[in-house]
Amino acid sequence: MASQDLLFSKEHEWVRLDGDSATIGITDYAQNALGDIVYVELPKVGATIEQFGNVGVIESVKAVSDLFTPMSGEVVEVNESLESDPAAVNREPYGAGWLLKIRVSNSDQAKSLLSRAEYEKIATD
Amino acid sequence: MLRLEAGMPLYGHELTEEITPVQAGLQWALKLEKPEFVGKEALEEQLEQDRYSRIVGLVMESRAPARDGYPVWYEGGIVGSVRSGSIAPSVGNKNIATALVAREAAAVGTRLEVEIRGKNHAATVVGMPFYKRPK
Repeated sequence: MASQDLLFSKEHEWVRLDGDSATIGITDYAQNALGDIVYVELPKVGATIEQFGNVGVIESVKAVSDLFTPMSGEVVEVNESLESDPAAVNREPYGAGWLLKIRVSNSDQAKSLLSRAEYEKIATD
Repeated sequence: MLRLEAGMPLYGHELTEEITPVQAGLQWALKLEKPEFVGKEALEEQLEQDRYSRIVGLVMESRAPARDGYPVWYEGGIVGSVRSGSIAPSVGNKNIATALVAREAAAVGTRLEVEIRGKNHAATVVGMPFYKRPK
């Protein structure tokens, strides 16, 4: 997938930064580990979220998993199409299966995230 | 098809040491005409008094999965708990569950709520099995 320009967290989220806007999702490794995703619970637009804080829930057939945000900021958009099609997270984790967009409050936090190469080391172990 | 769609109990969920076959809706599997068996009197008493909590089928209005142990609410009070839940591929991908609920909340058509992470989600009691093979 086109994930060259992304940053990653150890909790298996990805971030695509565009100025102070950040799009967030979970990685291909994460969706594969979770299995068939049946429900996604996301924060409200306007909510303030803190780096590595719990911001929602992803449920697969077998498990409930917490969703963490890789960066702090204000939620400006959530992917509402996942209400009717949560499996998009399985099909296109880096595309149509994105989860939320935030206005980043501290862009320095990007330095604490992983490059693709660094992430691939922990995601294959 | 899933065993849940067919209304089949799974031991530890719809049938446990605390849930009798009567409560699980399994009278068809009992031979009450036998003169004696362990628990016969207790089961007959349950049937006669008809006050027992029972296993019902639920269809959820939201897509949030109802999972084992989640509280079930009726008219402002907790009346039972979820025993199993799943998306039902054979029933139009409905979000279904079974729950053990008090008698007054068990009639088909009753509107209940399932508490999921502190928020109540609407559900309706439906007849079981959820899916019947066409004849």
